[in-house]
Amino acid sequence: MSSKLMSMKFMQRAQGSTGSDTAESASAKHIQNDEHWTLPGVNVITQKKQSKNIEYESGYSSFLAIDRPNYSGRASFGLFNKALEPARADAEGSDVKKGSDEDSEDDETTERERRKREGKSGKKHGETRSVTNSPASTRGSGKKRKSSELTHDVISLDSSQSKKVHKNKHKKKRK
Amino acid sequence: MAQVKEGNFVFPGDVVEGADTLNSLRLGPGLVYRNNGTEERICATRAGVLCTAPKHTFYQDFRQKRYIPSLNDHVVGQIVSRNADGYRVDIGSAHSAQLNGLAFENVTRKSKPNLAVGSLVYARVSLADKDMEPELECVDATSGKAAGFGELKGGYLIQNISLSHVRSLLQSSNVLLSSIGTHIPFEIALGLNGRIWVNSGSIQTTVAIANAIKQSEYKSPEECTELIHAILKTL
Repeated sequence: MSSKLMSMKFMQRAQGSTGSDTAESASAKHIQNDEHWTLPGVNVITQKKQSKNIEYESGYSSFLAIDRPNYSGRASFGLFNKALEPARADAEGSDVKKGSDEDSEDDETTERERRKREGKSGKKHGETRSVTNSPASTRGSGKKRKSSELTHDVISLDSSQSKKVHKNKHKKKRK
Repeated sequence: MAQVKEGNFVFPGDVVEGADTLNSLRLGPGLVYRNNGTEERICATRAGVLCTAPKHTFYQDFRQKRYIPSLNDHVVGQIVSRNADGYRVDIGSAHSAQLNGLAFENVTRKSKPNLAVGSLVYARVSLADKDMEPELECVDATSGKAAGFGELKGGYLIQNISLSHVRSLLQSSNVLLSSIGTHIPFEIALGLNGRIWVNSGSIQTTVAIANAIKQSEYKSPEECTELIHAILKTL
């Protein structure tokens, strides 16, 4: 049967394929045989179909993250850079503090209790407030402190020292 | 936990088996999908170890010293020059990278960091394209914090390390750096561009650490331990 008959719509329907595509491909093949050089015996592929869905990754950063999700190429060993080893530095720092606290534990708990009492309810019947009434705190938090004033902020276990601080209480108002 | 599995050593042209039946794949460096109409296959293009990862991911780990910038790589760069926007940084790639002066943590237009030419920075590649010059940032992508990025002061820069060796040092299973750390306190910045920055207490210890890193590329964990002991004896 001639190719023209085969390209007719009712013939395509009988064969079970779409009429327009095969008609176009037939006409395209016609043109190709006349004007274009083709290899005999090789099927002309008009459309390359990619059956797989492929994603390409150009680098290794995503694969490194599989092994270590929050990896960082920056590291410190032996506490050389404490900023990079915060967990270990904090743990060691707290151990040091615990060692020094053991000796003066009883005194500090009483001092802590006194500060708690003062903090909650304010001044009580002329009780000393060695920390809060220091000149440094009365001036306000924005200004720099002198080195001599810093000693007053240290928890004072000596009652005479706390009385000295108390002298300035009436001169400057607390902000 | 998801793990990367190392498989066989493959040569260029070898077909990756086990990937033919899958419809959706992720291919990493070294692998290409070839379809010539009649046959589909996934071929290796480099000589290296074939690795598999979760979610149908395949890639090759091969020895290469030439760095090609890739997105989200952590690199060690050296500032080459300054311009109005920021800095030009040499990261070992074909083109210099651009580091914006505001791409740091807690920075405003008035309080920008002032980095000198020749200083080293640890940064993340924020833009990597074959048609554009790469761009760097000294902040973490998700948190916006420094997270170890920024200027690297002092120390010593080891250059010309193969990229695969640096990646092996980054793995959690590698014990070389932690073993050295038990004897010598030091800090390190591993750049995926084949550069490693090391800083420690003295020049002798820094040189010892650099030698240990360079010589440990083809050594097994036991040989690495022996290497560390041999180097420590020289100190």
